Amino acid sequence: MQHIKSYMNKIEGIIASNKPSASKKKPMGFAPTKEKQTEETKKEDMNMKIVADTVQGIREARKGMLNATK
Amino acid sequence: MQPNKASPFDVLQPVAPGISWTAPEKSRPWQQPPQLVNIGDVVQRYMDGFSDPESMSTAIDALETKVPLSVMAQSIMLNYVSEGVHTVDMGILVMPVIIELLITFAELSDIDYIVFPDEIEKEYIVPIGVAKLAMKKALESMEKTVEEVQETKPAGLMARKQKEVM
Repeated sequence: MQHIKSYMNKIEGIIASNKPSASKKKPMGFAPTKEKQTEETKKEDMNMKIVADTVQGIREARKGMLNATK
Repeated sequence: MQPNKASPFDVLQPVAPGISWTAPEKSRPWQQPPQLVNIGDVVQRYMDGFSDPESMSTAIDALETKVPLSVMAQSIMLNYVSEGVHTVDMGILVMPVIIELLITFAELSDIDYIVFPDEIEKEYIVPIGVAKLAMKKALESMEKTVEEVQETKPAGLMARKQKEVM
């Protein structure tokens, strides 16, 4: 179950970086730049972004529903 | 593309070991190429599956058993894999979506939930300090009772006289 937990944390990180208030850090040291990313990595990132967006959407919908029921 | 008629909660059907040798090669759904390869389509399939009222009530019933949500999500995902809807890799990718949907059901129906199994262990673990204090108190009360029992001398007529030790 640990792999799912770390994957969930990754998704949380993407959601946090999607928020407008979060400051974007520049990659430092050996962090891969966007140009150096392979096709596979790009696809993986895209998939994770879709999942993160969906999770964020579900959360917002839930929040709205909970507020409406109160 | 055929719609998935089975409920995502039809998961607890045991499979005998060696079952893959009892049928012709590639005759099982999971031995075929997956129906969905695009992550958007897979997410949509789960959304459709969960928006069915029957599935929703089954999900709420399952949530009341307090099974960790990640375990439930994994079994639902593996059910779809066994039906040949998507691959295991794709299933793991969409796991957060399934967990989030289950959290929504739980919160809307006021059900307490646990996401990961290790959270159950955390709930029942007693801090070491509290455990030591409890042990100390238990030992003290035990010693007291033993002393009280030793102090009480037999007072009946038929009681044997105890030799006094000088």
